[in-house]
Amino acid sequence: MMNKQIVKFVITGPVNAGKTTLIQHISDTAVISTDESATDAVAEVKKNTTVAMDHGILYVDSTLELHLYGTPGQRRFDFMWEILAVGASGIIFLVDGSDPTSIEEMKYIYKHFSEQLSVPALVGVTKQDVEGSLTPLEVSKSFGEDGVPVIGCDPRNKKDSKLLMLSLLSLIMQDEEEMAESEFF
Amino acid sequence: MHSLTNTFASNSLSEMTMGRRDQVVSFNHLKNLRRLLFEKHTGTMEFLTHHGNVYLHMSDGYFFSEAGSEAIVDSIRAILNTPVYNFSRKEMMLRGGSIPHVGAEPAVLDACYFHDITSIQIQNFVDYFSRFPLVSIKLAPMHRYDSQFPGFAEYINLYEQSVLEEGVSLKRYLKGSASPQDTYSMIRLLIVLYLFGLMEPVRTRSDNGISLFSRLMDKIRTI
Repeated sequence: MMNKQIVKFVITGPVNAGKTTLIQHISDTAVISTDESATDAVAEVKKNTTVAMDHGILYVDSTLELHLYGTPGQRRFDFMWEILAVGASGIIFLVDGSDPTSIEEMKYIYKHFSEQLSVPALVGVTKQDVEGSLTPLEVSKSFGEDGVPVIGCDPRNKKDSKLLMLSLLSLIMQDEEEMAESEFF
Repeated sequence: MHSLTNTFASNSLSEMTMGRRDQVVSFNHLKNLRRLLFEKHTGTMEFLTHHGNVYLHMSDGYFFSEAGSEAIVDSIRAILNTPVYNFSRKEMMLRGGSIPHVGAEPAVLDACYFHDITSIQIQNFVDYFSRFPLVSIKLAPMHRYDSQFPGFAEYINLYEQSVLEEGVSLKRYLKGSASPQDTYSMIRLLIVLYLFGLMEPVRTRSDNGISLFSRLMDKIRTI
């Protein structure tokens, strides 16, 4: 009997950036969500919000699965960020480009994760259809000199959800190749 | 003070008679330049063009020239704008800090995007890139170059095509050009991606050599 391999990705970012929608598009299973009614400032932008995690699975075959974990977007649930990050192969950060608060919050979340994990990461900037929304180029400048790859996306669009996943996988493969090369050269 | 440690020259005789549109133009010198940029090598490349010899001195990701950064960009323009009959690469020690220098990537972007490339050379590049195998485009934080890289949006488009379709045919990409100006923009972008190592051949995969990440990509492309 062959061992089953599980690859784990974390989808994180501020509230209302599209994390749950992204997981729903990729997952073969119904996404397990821990939604509760929003009670604070979040209630102004959405009715329910994730308080513990979202979880979805993409089945490749009987030996390989991709597990997607969506984190809560609020800082008060940041203890879940650390729990969910354990064993992740890559992280997707989603940020609402039309909301300056979301972008500031994103920087906090990015810093939090990058201090604990050294895995390939990618930033997706959503709400590109909203007038005045910051472009990926503008958002990426806030990540400093070296930065992290940033692309625009709309998680409501399946093609964009696939693009985010494929981009993260490409970065992981690049990372692996570079590590293999550095080992021998 | 230069201490020569190794010298080698490339290009066959046939490659040394280039420059007319009825002949195939070689860009082997770019292949070597790319490697130097990628490896952040220390050394000098000498290019023989029909306008004379052009030198690029580089070390650790920087080009150096006693004549200043403008001269460095002019040298890169020269080798993009005219056929190179021969070239050699020498590994040597550079005197370092006191010599004017410029980052290799900004210098290449400057030469590509803020100076003209001749139309005959553009066509030579079209021929050259059209012969490339299927390529994959790498995602990199190219925003660090900001306004120095006006091709950013087109780069992301090409990247998206590459990742969603498992590679890009440059021949098909170039055939999609709507105008000579369009072709010009495409060639500028391809030169940059090539020299920066952001373009590489799609790897052929044997059945037992497929990584789990490749399998995941294959699956995601189908959903």
